[in-house]
Amino acid sequence: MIVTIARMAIPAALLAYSAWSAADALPNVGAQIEQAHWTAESWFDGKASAAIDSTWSDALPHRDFASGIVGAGRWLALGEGKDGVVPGRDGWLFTAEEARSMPEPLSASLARIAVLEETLNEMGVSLTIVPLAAKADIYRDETRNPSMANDLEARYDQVLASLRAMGMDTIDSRTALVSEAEVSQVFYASDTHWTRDGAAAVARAIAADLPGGDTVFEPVETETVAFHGDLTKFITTEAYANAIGLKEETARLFKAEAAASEDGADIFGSGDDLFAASALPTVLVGTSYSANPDWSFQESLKIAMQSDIVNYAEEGRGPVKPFLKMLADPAFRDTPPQRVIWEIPVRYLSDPSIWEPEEAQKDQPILAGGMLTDELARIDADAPVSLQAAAPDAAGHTGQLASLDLNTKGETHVD
Amino acid sequence: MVFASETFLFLFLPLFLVAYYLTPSKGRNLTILLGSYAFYGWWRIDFLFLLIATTVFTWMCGRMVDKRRDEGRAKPWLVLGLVGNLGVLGIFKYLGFFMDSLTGAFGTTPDQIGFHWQIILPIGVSFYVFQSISYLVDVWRKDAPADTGLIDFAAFIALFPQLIAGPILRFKDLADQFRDRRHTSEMFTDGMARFVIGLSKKVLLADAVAPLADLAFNNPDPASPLAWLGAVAYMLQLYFDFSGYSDMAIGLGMMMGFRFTENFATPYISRSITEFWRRWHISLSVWLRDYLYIPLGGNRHSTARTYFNLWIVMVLGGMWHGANWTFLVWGVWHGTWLALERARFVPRGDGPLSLARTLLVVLIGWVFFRAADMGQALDVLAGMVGLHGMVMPFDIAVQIRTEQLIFLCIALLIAAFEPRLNLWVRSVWASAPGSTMGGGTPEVAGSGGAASVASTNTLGAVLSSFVIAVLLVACVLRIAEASSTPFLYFQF
Repeated sequence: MIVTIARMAIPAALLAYSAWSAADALPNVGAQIEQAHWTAESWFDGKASAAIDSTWSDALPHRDFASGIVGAGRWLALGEGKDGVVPGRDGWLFTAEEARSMPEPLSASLARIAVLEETLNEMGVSLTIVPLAAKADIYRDETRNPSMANDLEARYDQVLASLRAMGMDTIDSRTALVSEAEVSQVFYASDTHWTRDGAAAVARAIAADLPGGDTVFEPVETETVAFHGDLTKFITTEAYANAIGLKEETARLFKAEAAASEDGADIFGSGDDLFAASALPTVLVGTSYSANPDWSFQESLKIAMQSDIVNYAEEGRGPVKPFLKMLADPAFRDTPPQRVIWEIPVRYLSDPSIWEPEEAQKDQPILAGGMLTDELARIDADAPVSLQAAAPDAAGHTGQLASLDLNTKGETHVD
Repeated sequence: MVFASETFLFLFLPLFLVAYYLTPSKGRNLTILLGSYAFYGWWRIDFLFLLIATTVFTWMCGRMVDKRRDEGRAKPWLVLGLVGNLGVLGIFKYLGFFMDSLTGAFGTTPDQIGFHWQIILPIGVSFYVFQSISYLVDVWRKDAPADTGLIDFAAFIALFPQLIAGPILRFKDLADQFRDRRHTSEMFTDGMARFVIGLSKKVLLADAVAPLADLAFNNPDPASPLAWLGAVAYMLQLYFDFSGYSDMAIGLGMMMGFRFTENFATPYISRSITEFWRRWHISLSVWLRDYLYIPLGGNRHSTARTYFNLWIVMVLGGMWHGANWTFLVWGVWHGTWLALERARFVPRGDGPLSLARTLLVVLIGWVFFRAADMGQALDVLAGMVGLHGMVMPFDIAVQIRTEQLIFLCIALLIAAFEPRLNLWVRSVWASAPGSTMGGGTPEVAGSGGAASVASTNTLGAVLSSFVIAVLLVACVLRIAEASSTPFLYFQF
């Protein structure tokens, strides 16, 4: 009898949990699934059931608990997370995207950038590219594999040299970040992104090279936010992060507000600016490094350049999609700015998927009439731009790019 | 739908079991049929019609074979049935490959010459076509009854536990069970335990080592340690994935009162390739023997013909797995070794040397089996012999996690000691009163009974229930945490 009860307990528990979870999760599943999936065609080709699978799984009561507890156990036992995070020393975490191999020659990305620059130049707009150095390059002592940082440094030098050899305006973010890192923290330990100080250092480097305006902006502190770094999610959920020693990061936010003008500004603003030839000031575009207000890059740039900044950067969409969206924006096309600053983390340049027309056009089908993305696609088959080899570093690394294999799984991607 | 999905575990399975046991005995085959069609249609409803059409066609051909046999006019119906089924397999599985190869020979592509059928491979088509063929041949041979109703036959073909990845069942083995089968709580719980063991093999072992195999096979020039690591990881991944699926299928069958044939018998302890094929994918080996090797003449003709028959059966078995030159090479590789062993060119023995040689042969075969194309297979083999260097670059090393290596070691140990583990499971779990899990013949799952167990061990049985419960919870947590858990054999 005891044996029978013990054995029947397993299917009984499964049935009971299934009934409970169905009652808990199912009512919301139907509403969460897109209307497009409730068609006969979707049922015939399996898209409807796949959508239900996914939504139902996400809605199950044990979902977050499982992610949290398994991840926490793995971290405590082995000091590891899922694919996507590379643990360093003293609680530092790095994105695996910085370490993975490169399936596509870098030259193909550079050729596509050249097409975009040409497009801007035809509109009378200058382009300045800000390749962002890898966090593991700047904080090499916090990684467990210093040779990785040597390769990342060589990769950065090669990208910069190649862009300059193509005649592009570039800003060396690496030098600025390395210098700033000696006095303050420029990247968050558990996040992929830069700190306010890191963003400000790069903003100053940009301002030193580019002509600015004459509007004085001053930082006005707004709030302080605490958050778990984005790399923490590759280890466990927020509910368990503190319990296993993954500390929160802190960001002090501020707004860059124009100081009151002393020379005749009125309610219409400065008389010189009001009817300026270019209604748009400098435009910033890029990834979440530029888009997320927690990093304060746009505000830092305003202060450093003494100019208002229109920001086209978007989170989670990489460097290319926001750029193409900006080009398709009638406001941008009708009144183009004098200059576009394009922030691109170097690790993205080895990701072929960001250049695929279908991917780039997703959610924005009227983008530039499709012409530009067609052109980008054509470039893929063209002869590659020659790369500039970086000089060997002290460790003997020759600048040969280790490859990156980005975005092979959506879950491993951070922007 | 896959067994290791939350939709199956928490939605389909409970609903199906409740519906099944609420259905009166006479209607349960219909419940199985409807449930199986829902299971299959969850993937794509359009291809469900192909399954239904194949089923009805095969059933009608079987009826005609039976009806016309006495008049001597059955053969055309047998041929029609076989050609029809092989036609389905040929169109959906090999037409694209044929067109690619043909156009490739002329230096072009199907797209360039203006036609390219984007044919989707229906899940499980290889399995249900093989079962249909075996049914027709068995009816022809008078080994299987042809007076079966369409519902029972359709339920057999569509029986969801084995529909999309086997084991390959034969109607003659299950016909009686479709007419009459016993349902007991012991068999149900034994089936649940078997299901959980299979789920654990798949989710906790196969999925854990899969990234190592991916890493090696996706690397164009894997260094020697990576190539070996990836090959061994795939060897274990495939075994625990597929044998886990078979365990789940057998367990689900038991929960419905069925007893399926075993499909694996600890293959990685084999001392020869011949023994390996007695232990690996047994239902396929038996199918190939009964419906290919024997019709070809088996070993009843000359010695040379026997070697050829062995060889060609394995080559065709390789091609059955997929339209790719790598599967052809895999079949040739195994067929050649089988023939060599038969001809006693390979020394026989029970020692560790024979074990190591057999594992090495199997491992090399799996490299071809796993590779996307011949180039990839040769890259990995070149890596294994050191042609791509001996040191793993950092960008690869950083992707290898301790967790994966630990599970690789656990999987290796379990593969090596599985016979002893099986004995232990039988002595503990199956020692409970009424258990059907242990003591049975090795060929048929759950064929034993309490009578074959010498003593009962209540404490052991309760503890083993606890272990099964823990494994189930671990699997549920792991499935929820992982992004996806596809089965390797679904592609076949």
